[in-house]
Amino acid sequence: MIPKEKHNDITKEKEGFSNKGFDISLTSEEINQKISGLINKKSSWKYWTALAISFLLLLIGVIAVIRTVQQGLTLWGIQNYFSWGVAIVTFVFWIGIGHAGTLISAILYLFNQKWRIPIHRSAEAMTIIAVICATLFPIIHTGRPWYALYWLFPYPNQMGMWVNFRSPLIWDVFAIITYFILSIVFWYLGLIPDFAILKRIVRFQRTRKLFDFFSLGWTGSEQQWKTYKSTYLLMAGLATALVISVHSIVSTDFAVSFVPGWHSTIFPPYFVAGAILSGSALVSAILIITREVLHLKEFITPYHFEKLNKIIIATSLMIGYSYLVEFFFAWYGANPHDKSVFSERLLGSYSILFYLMIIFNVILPQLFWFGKFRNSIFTTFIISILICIGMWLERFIIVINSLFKSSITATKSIYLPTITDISIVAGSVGLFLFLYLLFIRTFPIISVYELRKEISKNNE
Amino acid sequence: MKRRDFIASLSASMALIAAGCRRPEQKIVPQVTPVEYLVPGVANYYTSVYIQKNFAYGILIKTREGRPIKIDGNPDSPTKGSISPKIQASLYSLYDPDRFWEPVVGNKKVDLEIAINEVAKIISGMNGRTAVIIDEHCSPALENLLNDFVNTLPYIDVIKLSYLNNLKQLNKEDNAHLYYFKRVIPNLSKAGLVVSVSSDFLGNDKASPYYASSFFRNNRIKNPRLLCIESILTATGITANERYVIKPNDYEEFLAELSREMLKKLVNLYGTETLDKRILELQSRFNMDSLHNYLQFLNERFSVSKFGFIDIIVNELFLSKERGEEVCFLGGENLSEASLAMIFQLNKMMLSIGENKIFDSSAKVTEFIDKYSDSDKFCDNLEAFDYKSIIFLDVNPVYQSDSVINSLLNKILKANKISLSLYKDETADTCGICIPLTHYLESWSDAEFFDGQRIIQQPVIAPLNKHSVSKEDFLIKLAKLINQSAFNGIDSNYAFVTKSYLQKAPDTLSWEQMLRTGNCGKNVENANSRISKDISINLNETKDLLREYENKVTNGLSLVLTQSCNLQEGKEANNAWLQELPDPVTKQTWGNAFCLSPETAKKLAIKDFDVIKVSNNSKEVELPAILIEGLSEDVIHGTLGYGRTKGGKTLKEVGKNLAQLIDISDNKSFYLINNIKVSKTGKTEKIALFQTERKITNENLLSELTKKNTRNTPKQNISIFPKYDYKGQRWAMSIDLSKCTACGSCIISCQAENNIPVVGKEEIIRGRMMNWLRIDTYEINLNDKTKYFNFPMLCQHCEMAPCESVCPVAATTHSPEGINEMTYNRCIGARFCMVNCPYKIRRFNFKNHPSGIVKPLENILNPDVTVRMQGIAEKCTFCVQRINEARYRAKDEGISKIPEEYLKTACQQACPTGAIIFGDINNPESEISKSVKRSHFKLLEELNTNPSIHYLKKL
Repeated sequence: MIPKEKHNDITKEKEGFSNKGFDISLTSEEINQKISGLINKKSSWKYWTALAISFLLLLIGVIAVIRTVQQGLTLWGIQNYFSWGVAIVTFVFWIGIGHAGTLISAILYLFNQKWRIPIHRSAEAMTIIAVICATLFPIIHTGRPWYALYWLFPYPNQMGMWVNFRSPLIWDVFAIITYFILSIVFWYLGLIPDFAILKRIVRFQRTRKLFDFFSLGWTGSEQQWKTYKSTYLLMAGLATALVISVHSIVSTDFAVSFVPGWHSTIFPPYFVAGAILSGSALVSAILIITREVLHLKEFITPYHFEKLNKIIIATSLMIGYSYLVEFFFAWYGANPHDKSVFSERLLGSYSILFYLMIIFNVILPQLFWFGKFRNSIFTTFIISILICIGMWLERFIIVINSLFKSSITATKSIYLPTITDISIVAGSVGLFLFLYLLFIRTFPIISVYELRKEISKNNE
Repeated sequence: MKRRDFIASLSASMALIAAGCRRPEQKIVPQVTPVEYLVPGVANYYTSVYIQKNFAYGILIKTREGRPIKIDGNPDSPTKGSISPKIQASLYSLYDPDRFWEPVVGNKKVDLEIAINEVAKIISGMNGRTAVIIDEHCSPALENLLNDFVNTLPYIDVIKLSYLNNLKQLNKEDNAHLYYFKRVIPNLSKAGLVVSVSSDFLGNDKASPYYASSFFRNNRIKNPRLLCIESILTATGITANERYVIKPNDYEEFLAELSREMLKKLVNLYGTETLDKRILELQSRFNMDSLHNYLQFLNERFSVSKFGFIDIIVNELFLSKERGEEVCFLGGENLSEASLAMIFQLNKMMLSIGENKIFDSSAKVTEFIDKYSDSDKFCDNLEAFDYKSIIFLDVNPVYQSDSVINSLLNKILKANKISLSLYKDETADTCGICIPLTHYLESWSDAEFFDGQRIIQQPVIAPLNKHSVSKEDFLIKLAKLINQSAFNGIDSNYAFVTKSYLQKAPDTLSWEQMLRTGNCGKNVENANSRISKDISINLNETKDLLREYENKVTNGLSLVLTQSCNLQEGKEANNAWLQELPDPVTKQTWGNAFCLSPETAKKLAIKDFDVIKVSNNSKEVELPAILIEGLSEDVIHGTLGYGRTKGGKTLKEVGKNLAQLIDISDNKSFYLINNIKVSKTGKTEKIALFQTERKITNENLLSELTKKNTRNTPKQNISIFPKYDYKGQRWAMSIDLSKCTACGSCIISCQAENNIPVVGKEEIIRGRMMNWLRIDTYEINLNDKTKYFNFPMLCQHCEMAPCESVCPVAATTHSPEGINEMTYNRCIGARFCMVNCPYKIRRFNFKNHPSGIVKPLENILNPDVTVRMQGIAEKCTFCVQRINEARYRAKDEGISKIPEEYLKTACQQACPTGAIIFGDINNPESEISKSVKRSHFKLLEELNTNPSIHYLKKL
């Protein structure tokens, strides 16, 4: 899957590719055809295989969820003393994944980073899909999901009784809904001019009508562009705030609670940094597959991955610092509960996972200091996948290891996920890939108008 | 068909379907003639008795709409309301779906009458004798009935079969030590100091709740002390103030040395004025010459001092005596006769035997207990008489007996065997005719208590099984079928029981009053009772016994067997409540295991949960091992009562029967097997443990438990919220850690009161136990000695409860009376509360437990408490239904505040030692307010949760 073109890419760049990372010799119509025209092409066998695998994974997850709802949570590995398990771990993981999308599309937009152009569309789509994946978990994780679906919404019941606004879970509901809505709006906003291009290119009558409808009568007039740009800027500003807020609020699930190992003020920044780390890593990994499957190597080049890898280095250092600070707090603080939790983390039953996590999240990304690794598609892919696993492990350690060492030590049992747990996690991966694969065949996965504008600007 | 018609018929059928979608109609029919005393929604209470071997308990049965739903102790009875988990859980057996429902003759299911006819035909048509085998009991009515029965049918022998009777010599009634050991129940409410020598009198003893209640709750001395000398870790040892471990073969030497030191001190003190007058008085009662002789003998025979702690015990004994308290020694049933003789002498020396002493020589003691005595006679008779038929009357010798009796039972395979039992057990399985028995809550009888009072056992429900018959009714019917003139004028056991009570002496209560109060008014002179004899001290006999004794010093491993605290002899093994009740010591549920100390295990290279094979001669048993500190070196401990094979679904594959290891041929005791072989099998097995960590890692809790300083004022709680003012009543609980014996009575009481489901072995292994209350036992090393703390854990009802703030749907909230409430139907099961609870006492319904309830078990449910469905968190509610019941009662009576005596939580009611006190802490006069004036602490106070449960320190 991974092409041996490292050498090739670097020479190309030397030979006259712009430092923006894409071929500036392309004309507008070529770009239109190469990106938007993908919709007219038949999918390759690679695509169908990927789609089938992801659908299979999704199916496994769906069966596991149905069985869970029927028979109760007895099918999971959770216990009275480990009442949160893999579901919460994966929920936090997916929420984190979403962050890179908003970061790339909104924050980098505000900072006028042009290299974001070929990758921000798919990163945004990833955000939305990751939030969908994440939202499923708190619901199926409850004992009575049929009530959880709507009892969590902030409106009073027939007794005039409201939800408990003091609970971080309710804050989560607000944060995630806001984030989801804004991400969709922002993503759609970016798509409007592209829909207008698509409706010209697409072959099928019905699809054309659909794109026509969603392009909201976009003509590309001066006035429209002016309004569009200011709206987009405004939305980018709003979304930037959300990058910080959502994961901070999700982290309060832990930080506000009473559990030693969770109850810490460092959690919000720590979680945000982790979220961006895992998000960027997954963006890299997914884009490497996408450019391979859809033959987009001209647009998505090692140049972009190098930039992403730089973000990974920065956030990985932040994460490493957070790990250190956590231990420092435990050591320096007077809380014996914290001390026992962190010594358990270093030496306890789950310590292997802890060391794996350190290797994946802190040590391996340091390889990106070297240009050889940073520019290599192969190493980027491997390390990105390992970072994703490492970040999942981080959440596992935070959730499970802290519960393992509770204040009352009478019961000490080991938490092990069951087949159902694993199936549901696999199902969420399947859902993510399935939706993403559908997305890349139905939408322009690179912002065509921005790319065109950028290239023409460069050509001038 | 036209389009319109089609649409019309379509809509009509939809309407029909919609109309059909409703719950099945159930008609409510009012009772035209109401049942007397039955008010729907109001509980009725009936007194009765529970007979456990030859010890009876007074009980109070709560019924709702005619269904018994809870069993509590009757405070007006001689046993003072003390109750064990086993008695409470006997309610489960009443509704057990696995009960034996239909009589079987051959392989055919028949009616009861036909079955009894068949029995009569067999017995009367036979040319040989018939044996009726019964269990130990204490019912005078049954005894009289048996007498009449044997008189009418002279070819019938009645044999009483006791379970693994260690002391066959007990028939030698002349031996004072045995007589007192077996017959006299010591009155521990007078004891300031008890020295237990291998006696688990707070654990698996048949009278343990009564002992616990008289020693801790009703004791005249404020802080009685308990010293324990044992070779294994028992519930008594855990509760004891001081505990000393010796080897299981060393009891004789230990007691001899103790006697020697005690005598030395006594002899030296002779004539001096330092001691209490009573000791001098004692000395005057001894024949000093024989005492000197005895001392000399002990000096010669046991010259070496082996035990370093004897001085401490002797000092403590004399100190206690100097304070004017009574002291006593209790011996366990696994002791040899020589040891029991020495214990008797020690008790005599310390003046604890005599009139109105701990061992009351003027107490009335029933004679009939030993009539038709026991296994020896059974063995002799079996060979001598060649019984042609045997009736097993509610006994299960095939499971319960030792190898000798079992081989004898195999010999008489040809005999016609008839079994009457509640379950189709191992014995019933070998019998040609099996007849179901009624539960004791369904039948009439009576019982003689340890103090001679006779109390009636009354049924509280009509037999659930129309084919069942009570023991007594069966005998009457059988006798009448064989000989029509038998039991003249009496056609049922009810008539038989009433007959003897209606002809009572005038100074006792009337029949109805007796039933209402559950006691007989005053001690009655009973024909069968007599005053225990005045025992003269026979030091020579003790000497003789000691001369015979030789310490078989063994380097090998010893297996110590005890009866299980929960199941005892295993009769109620199908009782899921009892199976799921953790053992007080090992905290194991659903099965037994081999316990050994970590040192012994290290020697044998055994780890926790390794399956080990223990073999004695040719017999072997494989069970997993549990490593527990506090056992003597080279000792393996196992509990009896498990490993049943027949008699229900629940008892299948629960533990192993260790009785099969017993080989009585050369052993001095059933309960101690020397020179066993242990080998590893290489397998491991998961054990359903309630507690796996016994060490406390939390420094604050550790110091709270071990510190002795008194702190009455609670810590100042810092909060950004304004402090809530509890204007009315505020409920709180105090738990006295020095009184908790970990018996588990509170756990079963809570289970019965609050409809707590049974989850089974697998779910417990996976950590999904549902009990709202658990008792942790912690080991703490203090000055190189291991101290044990029993720690009942339940919802702490924190004022600043961490669970309340995190529930997204506000399903758990705080009441204005300080209770942390749980609203089940609002709960979505997000489990944030469980995560955030620092005490980890919240429970979650991982399964839909109510769907597992099989008929007629649903009748056991308490209608005042919601049955929880799948996906809901739950926890202790402070028995809020009882608080509300008391509130309505107070309101009816025009009282604004609920008086304390109206209200007891289920755990408080069941606790035999009175360790749990519940009440209104806003009322300075209440019991709870007084109790927290003592040195106490709250759990994890540093977290600022401010719990409502106060733990009184173990002193």
